[in-house]
Amino acid sequence: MSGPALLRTAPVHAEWKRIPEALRSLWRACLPDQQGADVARSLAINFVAVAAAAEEDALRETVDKLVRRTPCRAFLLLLDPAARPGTATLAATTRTHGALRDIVLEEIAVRLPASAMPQITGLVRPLLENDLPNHLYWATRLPADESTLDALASMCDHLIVDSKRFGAVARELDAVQQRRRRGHRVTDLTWLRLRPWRRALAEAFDRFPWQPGAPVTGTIRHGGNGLAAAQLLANWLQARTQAKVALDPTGGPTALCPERVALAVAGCDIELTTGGPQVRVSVSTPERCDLPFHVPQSRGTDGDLVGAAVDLG
Amino acid sequence: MGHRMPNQPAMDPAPTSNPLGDELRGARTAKPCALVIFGATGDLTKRKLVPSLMGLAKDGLLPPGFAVVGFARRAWTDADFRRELADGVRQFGRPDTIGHFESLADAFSFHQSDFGEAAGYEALAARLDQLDRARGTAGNRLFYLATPPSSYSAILQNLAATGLSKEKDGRFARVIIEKPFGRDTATAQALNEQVRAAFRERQVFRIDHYLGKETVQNILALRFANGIFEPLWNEKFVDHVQITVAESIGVGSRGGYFEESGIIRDMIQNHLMQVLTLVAMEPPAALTADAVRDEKVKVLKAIRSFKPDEVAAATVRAQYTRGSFGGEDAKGYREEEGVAPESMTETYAAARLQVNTWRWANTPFFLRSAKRLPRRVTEVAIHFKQPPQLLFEDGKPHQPNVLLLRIQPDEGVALRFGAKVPGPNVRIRDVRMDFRYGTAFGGETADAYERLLLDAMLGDGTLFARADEVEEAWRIVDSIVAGWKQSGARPDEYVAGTWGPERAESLLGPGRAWRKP
Repeated sequence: MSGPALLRTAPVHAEWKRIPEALRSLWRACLPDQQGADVARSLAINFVAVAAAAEEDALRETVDKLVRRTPCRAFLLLLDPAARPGTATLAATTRTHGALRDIVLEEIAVRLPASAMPQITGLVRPLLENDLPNHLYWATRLPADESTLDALASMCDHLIVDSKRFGAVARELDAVQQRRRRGHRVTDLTWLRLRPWRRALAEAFDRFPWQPGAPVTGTIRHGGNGLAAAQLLANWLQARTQAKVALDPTGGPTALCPERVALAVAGCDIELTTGGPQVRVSVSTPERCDLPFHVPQSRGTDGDLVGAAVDLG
Repeated sequence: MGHRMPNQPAMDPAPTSNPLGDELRGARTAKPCALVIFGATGDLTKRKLVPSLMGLAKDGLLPPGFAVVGFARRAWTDADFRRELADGVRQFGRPDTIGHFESLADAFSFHQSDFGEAAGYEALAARLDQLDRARGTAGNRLFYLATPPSSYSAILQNLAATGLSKEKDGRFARVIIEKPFGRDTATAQALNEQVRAAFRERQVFRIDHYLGKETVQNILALRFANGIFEPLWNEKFVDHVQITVAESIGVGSRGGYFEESGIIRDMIQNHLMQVLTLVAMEPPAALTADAVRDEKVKVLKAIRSFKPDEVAAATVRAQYTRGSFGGEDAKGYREEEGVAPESMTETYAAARLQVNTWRWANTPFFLRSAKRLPRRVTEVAIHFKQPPQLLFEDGKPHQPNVLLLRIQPDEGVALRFGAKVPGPNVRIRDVRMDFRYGTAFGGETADAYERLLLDAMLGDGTLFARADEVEEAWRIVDSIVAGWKQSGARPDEYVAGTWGPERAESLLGPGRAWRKP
């Protein structure tokens, strides 16, 4: 099965004020060689991403994945303490399918120190494509001073964060919640990553009669990178079942999701463990022990999850 | 402590009692089940069904407890069956699905039996019980009739006789039936009777893979999720509608089958009628299976049967003759293998249908389907009326506005309208606004069978034809076939690789022309 091919133009460097001209030169660069052939711009969203410069490769991978489903104009704002603001690097990606050629990515990458971020809204706002939804992907931890985030978020319809990147997990999760209470649309990629765990727990609770108010206790074992996921899952269980869930941080350091969830619910035991690409779910009640069942783990890369978040947002 | 299957219904609490239940309500994941494919050694299983199941596995949409039993006459072992299926997944599956097949291979087993042999079904029942224990399929059964229609009767009778078609204790038993569903009204009614003797209507899923295509489903989205189209979607603004399903290939090795059906039974009775109902239906009260299908049936009921002497003026039938295609000689239909030299079977059919409702009272629907046309294309073209006053270019009529729903290939929606050519003169030229699925959404699109298999597992019949729908479509087609038979006239001819016979143009009436997509 042969799919469409993606072609990327050579990068073009431009001063900030010359970005519109540089974009036009990119469109010309995307034109096919043969005479009479045409190229269409097929942008579906504006995508503004903020990340540490050290994360540039990961961010580009995310954008590459995103444009396979959602063509966009992408602003990559890379925080680099050593950078001198004032120039941008532009590139475009076209998708060719037979004789058809579409521009699916117009990328404007800017490196700048955090101190220059207040200027960035003035750069980005006039370059946002009209009439398209604007998504802000904050691919770094939430700052204590959220004024720059607020300024960028105010231009956008939807904020995407990933709490796996949070440093002060409790404070930053709380900041996200407060933002939602103020009416902002916020999607946390870690919450999407947890979907198989949520589904597995929901299926487990489907296997015995639940009495509201029944005591629920348990533990969630996680590693260093899985703290935010464990906390989100614990918060969710507490909100839905008044569960008292302890976090056990003794898991392996790399996993982004919990390693094990064990719950005791009015004489019933639920255990979720990871086994390769699946979550294994065991449920036993005083009367019986169900055969374990499996739920596939999230296969999504950050790019897939950002794509899913854009669909949701 | 005894073992119990997952999802055993006797112990299932009411859904509202699950404090996390909303995670399941949003998810389109089916209950555990065993899928039994009758005719499992055929092409459909290898090319479509199992690759589609692996697509569902890739997307995490297969239920936790799942098994497939292939039921066929050949003396295959489980290993033979799995080898053949693995080959199919490699050739026809979405990228990266072979790994899913390999990890699920144990879930596939083969059951050798004749379709009419009662003992084979007793053994099948025992095997399914054993799978419930071994693979947690929870007593739920989905039977897929992927056999020639001549075997349907025996399979249905035996499923009923062994009790496999009965639903009890909340466990489901469903049957998916492939087209063709009958070859006329009488045979469709007889088949529906046989189906009803074994299953209730809500257990029956008559599959038309066109309804599983994203772009066909998008007809409803386009019409009912947007405010701008529906006010124009009626006889006041629409001059006529053209629905085309064109194939570039000839009948190839299917000559024997095609001789019995012709294009009208093979394509128009099912695919084109289904698309027509979606284009012409009223908004359903809800997006439930019966609400949608009620509206579709109303459209078919509003199309009057033709009297035999009306058929010649309202339809065209033709056969392709020798021509050239892709730079190579192409055989004429009557030269194809399995085709009688004096065959009267049509490879091209076009019909003008009138949907007698307030919405469509004066708007004809033109349906056209054929083999050996220049391109493989399926589309719906809504041709709008001219504006009431022609101000430009000395009152010369312009090309009409056309809203084009492209179902395949290059799926999407386009709108054709006139724009002023830049310059000092006022000249109007046609331009096109174009939405292409592949561009706007990208990513890989699931095969139609994926969606339909999942819906059948979920028990959602919205995208499947109901008994009355099938019978109404046959009623219309029967009246055309009867008119052709009565006239005794030979089909017209068209050269392979052209857009059909000349007479087809006159079917449309003055000022209209068939699209050449």
